[in-house]
Amino acid sequence: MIQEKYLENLFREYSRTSEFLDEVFDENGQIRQHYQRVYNHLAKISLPDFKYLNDYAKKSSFDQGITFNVYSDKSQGVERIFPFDLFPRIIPTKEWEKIEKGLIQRNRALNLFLQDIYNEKKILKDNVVPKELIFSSRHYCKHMMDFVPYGGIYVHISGTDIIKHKDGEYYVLEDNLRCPSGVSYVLSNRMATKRILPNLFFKSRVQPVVDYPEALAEVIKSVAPIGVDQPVCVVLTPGMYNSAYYEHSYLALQMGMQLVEGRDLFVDHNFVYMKTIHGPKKVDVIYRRIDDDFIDPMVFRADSTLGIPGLMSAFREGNVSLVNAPGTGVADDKAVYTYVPDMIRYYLSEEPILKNVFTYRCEKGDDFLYVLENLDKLVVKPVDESGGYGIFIGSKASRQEQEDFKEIIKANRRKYIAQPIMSLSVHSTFIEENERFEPRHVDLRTFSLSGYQIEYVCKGGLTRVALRKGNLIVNSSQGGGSKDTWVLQE
Amino acid sequence: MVTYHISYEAENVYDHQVQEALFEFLVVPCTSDTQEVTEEKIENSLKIPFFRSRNVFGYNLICVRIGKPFNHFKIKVSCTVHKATEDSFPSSADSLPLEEELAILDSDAFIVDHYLYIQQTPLTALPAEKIPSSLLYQRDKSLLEYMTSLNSALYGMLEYKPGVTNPSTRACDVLNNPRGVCQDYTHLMLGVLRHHQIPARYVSGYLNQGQDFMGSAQMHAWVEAFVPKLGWVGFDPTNNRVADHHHIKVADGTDYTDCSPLKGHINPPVPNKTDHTVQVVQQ
Repeated sequence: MIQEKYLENLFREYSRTSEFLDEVFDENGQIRQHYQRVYNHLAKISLPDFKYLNDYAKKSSFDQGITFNVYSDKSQGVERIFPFDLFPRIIPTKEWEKIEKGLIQRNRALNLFLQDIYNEKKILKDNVVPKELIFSSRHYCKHMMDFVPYGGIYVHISGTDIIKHKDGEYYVLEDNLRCPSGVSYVLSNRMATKRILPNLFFKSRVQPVVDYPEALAEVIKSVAPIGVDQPVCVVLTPGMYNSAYYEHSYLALQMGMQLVEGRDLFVDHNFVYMKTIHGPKKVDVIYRRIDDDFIDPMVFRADSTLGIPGLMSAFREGNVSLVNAPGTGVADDKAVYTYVPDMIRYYLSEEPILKNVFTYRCEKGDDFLYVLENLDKLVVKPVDESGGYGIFIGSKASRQEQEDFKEIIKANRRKYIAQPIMSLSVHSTFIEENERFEPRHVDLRTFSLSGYQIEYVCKGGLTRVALRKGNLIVNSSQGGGSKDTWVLQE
Repeated sequence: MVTYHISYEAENVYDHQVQEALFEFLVVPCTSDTQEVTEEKIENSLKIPFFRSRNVFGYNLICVRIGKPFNHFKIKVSCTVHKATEDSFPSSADSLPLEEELAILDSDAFIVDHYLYIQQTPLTALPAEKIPSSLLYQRDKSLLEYMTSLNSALYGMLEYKPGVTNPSTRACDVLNNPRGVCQDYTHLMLGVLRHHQIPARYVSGYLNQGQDFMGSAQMHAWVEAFVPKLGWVGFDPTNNRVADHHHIKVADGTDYTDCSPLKGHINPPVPNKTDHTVQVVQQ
């Protein structure tokens, strides 16, 4: 009789890496303390049982319709599930507290930045952020000039991507300020964990995430135009062919708001109305999941059939609030990112709590020399070009290309900044094909909300897993998976 | 003081029925230091109540939302405008000394404040090497003098010819084929000024039809350029004039797209024909 394998055996065979930080095991291969309970629980499950649970998790995702469409090449229109790994990622309370404070600080500064660059432009006049960088941005929106949305809030929902580096510190990798998606995975992953590993979950004292839709609804209502007591709020979706349609419908349902498409709304006398069987009904706040370019064909792309003609006029008249405001994309650009710590100091007179990936500015003497000597270890970006253009990746360039690029930098030092390549931490992940646990790179998409006198951070977030070995890109459309993310109570 | 009666009519005829529509008209003269709108009358063939809105630059829009099927729509806007005749066009003597003027022009704060009118748009952008050197600013005379000479140079360089261009014709196309109408003259002048980082904006409005001016039959376009200390100064390259009491301003913006008299969105998008009629009568 073949002896039944338990996960304990699998963990013993786990291939450790010293190159990256492992979230579960320390340098000596010992289980980190905050993972002990989960480890003890999983270790006692037999492999066939675990596979059964794993299949069950997949099936439940499919049955709930938690799928996304893959747009690339042959698989066009195919609905896929975002694979969910049963081994949860755990963030210790102390670490989380710092992340949460850091995110709130960051969002305050970014909102002040947006208000500034669309109005007084002080930070540009003071040369803290180069004006060329902002003015060259495709997302710098003329239609937001000289106007402040209700409460000075531009970014109501932000999805900051964070990684844990080799040094054990969290770093912000990028800000996503244009209605980021993914929170429905957080909620459904949590639901799946509760259903599949109930004993473990309820003993582990995990902070809840289920309050997210309620918090989002509060934030949306908090920015209703002045004088509106019982605001009518809607979720605006591009429609069922959008890859995040599941999320739009899920959030609308959870928040008790109508899910609408552009053709369900119209503007008259600078107010927005929803077409209903009882006649037009005034709409006060729109949580829009349509890109800026498509929300109003009178102002942005005239060929858009997804938007509402006249919406921007109604918005600027203060008769409707848009969540998030248009024009926020200028602040989540790759080059603008490098100035976020400066924004925090400039607007808040505070030191940044969360680290940014270190940035060398070639205009500075020491930085310049370092960049020339370490080009093979760096990523170099132009400061006056947004949208990821002109980025030079040292490790992928030939020696000749590196030499050529040094000359380009020398010719215009002010134009270039450089950053080290970051190494994402790894997390023990069940790999079906090999029937064992292997280390895979993970990052963390966090979800923060800013309303009128409300600041909220979802406790946990979406841990994304690069399922291909060695792959550093963790993205749902690039063969990624996800983990439930636990923030423990003190 | 001079008084004008202005009327603007637009008639849209659609090949098929339109179910719903929103129209925005940017056709009513603005009120400023030199002009004032008194009487105003707006009628439309469908008898739908209009509403007002403001565009991003603060100019008045007349808007109509139509929520019932139609295939013909006509609007008539008429108004009376009083315009000051003591033209306040500055003279070179009012300019700052050249060095001071240039120092301001080059300063970061000035560029940040005026970036919207310094940055080229797709309609105004010109390849630097294609601009004839006779049009370039050598920094040897005051901005006002340069603008005046550029205004004349463009008037001399281009041939006024309706029908060969349309509102999406770019300044660089006009440079290659120097013919067109007021918006082409205007886009080209904006392109050259902005090439020198001089803030310049597109102005739309009406031109006195009692004179022998080019471009008075329809809505007209000209340029306003910014001179430190003097502010915005108007030039009409189509007529080799400065903008004066014959020019009745409606709005300004970065290029034609910010100032087009009629913007609309119809559902479904059916083919249509639009006719505009403009009358500007001096009392």
